[in-house]
Amino acid sequence: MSFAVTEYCDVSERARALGINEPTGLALLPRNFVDANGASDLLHESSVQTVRSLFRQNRINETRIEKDGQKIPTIQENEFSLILPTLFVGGLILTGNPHLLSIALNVISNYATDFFKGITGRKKVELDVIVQNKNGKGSKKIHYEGGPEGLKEITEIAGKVFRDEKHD
Amino acid sequence: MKNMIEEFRNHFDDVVESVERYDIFVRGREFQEQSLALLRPLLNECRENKERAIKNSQEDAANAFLAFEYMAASLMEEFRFYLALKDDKVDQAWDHLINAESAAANAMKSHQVAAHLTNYIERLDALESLLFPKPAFFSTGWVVHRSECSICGVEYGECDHIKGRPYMGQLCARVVKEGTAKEVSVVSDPADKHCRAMHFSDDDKWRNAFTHRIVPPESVDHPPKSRTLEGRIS
Repeated sequence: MSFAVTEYCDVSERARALGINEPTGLALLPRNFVDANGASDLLHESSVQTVRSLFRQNRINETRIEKDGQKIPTIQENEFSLILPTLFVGGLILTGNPHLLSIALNVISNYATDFFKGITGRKKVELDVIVQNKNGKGSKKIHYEGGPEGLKEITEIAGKVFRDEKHD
Repeated sequence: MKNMIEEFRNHFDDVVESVERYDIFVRGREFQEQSLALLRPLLNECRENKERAIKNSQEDAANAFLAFEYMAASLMEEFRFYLALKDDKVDQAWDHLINAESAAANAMKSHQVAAHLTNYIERLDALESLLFPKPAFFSTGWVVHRSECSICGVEYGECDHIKGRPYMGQLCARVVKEGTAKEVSVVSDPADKHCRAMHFSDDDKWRNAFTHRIVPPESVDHPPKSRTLEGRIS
């Protein structure tokens, strides 16, 4: 499994530029959130609807970036891997309610385990988690690639990234 | 309800044990054909029990019988795989083997009664890698504008059903209703192993990707038949 941390954009500013709702708390971002030409070009990962259903069933509140009546299409690529939607984590979550991220990742991890049931060989999951900086401007991206079992480790890494500590 | 599942499991295991000794390539084809004939009524029994459980709103039993149904189907596909190989029909053999793998995986997704299938699936996977060269697989990329839940028919994601999970004797799937084809890529690990290169060109001839035999040009020159954009993603 591998984790890579890189700089990401100012999510609020980018959302305003695209004319979509500004994410707060937990939100699911489209794959091309950073480089789409406009809101009509945005594309969600195909797993977004499943993750939304799972969040709803587990009473995990998500800020929808889509305005009322707006619909973002999904991209379906039929390679055998689980590409999860980009998970935005607002600064307030990491200061006030850090266990919410842990619950969300737990739900996602259980789904990923079910997804690969009966499948032999490589079990590849990809997930980007965007952690908003403490000052609310700018953010960092944690890119995870590996099996379902490593997803839960992201909580600790996200905490370190938020506190601006070095992670191993 | 547990008794009903247990009782059926005993009967299911008896039939499976009686044919298991023949699910090896070198066994006589007459025994493998007889095994298939024995499994057909078992498959029907699984379906009938499932329908009964659905009618009585017994979800756990319906899902258990769905798993039995997939297990019987998987074993039947394995026998068909050996028979196709013996008939030198390698493309068909591949399809049967992949169907056997998918059915076994679906059985595991359906109910705990199939939780023991890991070794069986690994054996099918070993047959795939030992008997066939790794094909060039293709994967299609789609932009999906609208999809429905196969269980309740509402917009997928707006209901509480999760694709790949069992509900009253059915695995949930996302049914794509509107989509735009975006790309076709060559991949090493496709979602659908039926989606592979069947032929390759060799100067002015076409050869079968598995057997390397020359195939008549008319079987490869025809463009693929047009297909609708509707499909199931499970």
